Amino acid sequence: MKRIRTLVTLAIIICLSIGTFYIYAAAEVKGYPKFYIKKEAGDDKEIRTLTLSAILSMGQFSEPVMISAEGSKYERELSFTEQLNSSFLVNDGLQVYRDKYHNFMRGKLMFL
Amino acid sequence: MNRYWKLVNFELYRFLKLYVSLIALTIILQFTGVVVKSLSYVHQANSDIYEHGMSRAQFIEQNGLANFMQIAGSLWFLAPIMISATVILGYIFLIWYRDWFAKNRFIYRLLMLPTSRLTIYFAKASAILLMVLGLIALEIIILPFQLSLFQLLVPADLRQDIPITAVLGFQVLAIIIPGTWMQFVLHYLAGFMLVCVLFTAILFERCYRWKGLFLAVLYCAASVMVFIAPAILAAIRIIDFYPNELVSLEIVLGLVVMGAAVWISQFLLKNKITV
Repeated sequence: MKRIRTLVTLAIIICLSIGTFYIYAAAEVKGYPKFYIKKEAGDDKEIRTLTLSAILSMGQFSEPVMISAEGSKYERELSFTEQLNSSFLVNDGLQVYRDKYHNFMRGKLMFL
Repeated sequence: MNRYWKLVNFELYRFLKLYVSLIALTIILQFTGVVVKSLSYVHQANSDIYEHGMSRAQFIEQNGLANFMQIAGSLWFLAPIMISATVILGYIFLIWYRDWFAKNRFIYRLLMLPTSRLTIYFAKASAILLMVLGLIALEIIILPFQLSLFQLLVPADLRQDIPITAVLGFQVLAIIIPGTWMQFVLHYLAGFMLVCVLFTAILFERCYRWKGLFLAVLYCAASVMVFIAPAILAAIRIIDFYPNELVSLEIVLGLVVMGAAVWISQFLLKNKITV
């Protein structure tokens, strides 16, 4: 142990700080502002298929968020594979077509 | 395995002086940046509001609220990161060449160690990776303190508090400390691949000297071509990929490039290396 002191110290510092940071980062996203659709009048059913693609921006930072009848969901809250597959900013229903038709919208850049 | 750990430790220890100065430089410049930027904002607010009779609301409308991103995006903050990156990039070369050009050819002793020569290669590569991760850890450790200092210096009604994940979500910071754990792993795996490729290029040069330099350039070009092949295919519109397909493909190609680098190095170290 004594002969690999530099290595051990550095490794412990790295694991502790980076580990803590990612645990904290995951928790912090849950504290981002929440959005929801408030009913004033009318039929609940009409809103169920509605999804708003939005961007939360703070300073130079912006984060995609999707608002629907169930509340809001940030892109960061998705798992890594979900993030890759997501058509977060564009259209909620896109994935359905993609699953059905192998080449649907392949190679189309999907930006706002 | 025991030798491997000792070698990594040895490589880290040899870099320690330079490493500590990089750490000191980062801490000094970044904290100075926080103080300078915060105070200049507060100073301007004071002079506009108390000397030129502007109202607070007017001032905020004209200048915007202060937020930590303005500091994190400034040269005070980014310069130490760029300097550290440059130094470590340079050290990727120096970690090999210093052994050749040191007094009494230290590489001779290293290569004579009763262990696989690939162990030396991996020890050097891991040392580089650990140095980089150590600096990232430093950044993560000092960031909360910088944020507190900023909040101490700028009054609450003139600043916009931004979550740490958002502060890190832009510019260079988003690359070196990505938002999710999985991205972090992928970024640094790619970094490790780059280190392996450069090491192999260095070994080419060390084995064949001037001819080797030419080979090294060819080898690097080939590695880059393999790694960015999907992007090229997409650019000339032969085949397009969905993002998830692209990432899986890149992971496989990255492993291929890394495997090739290690395999070639193994061959060179075993058969061709000259001291």
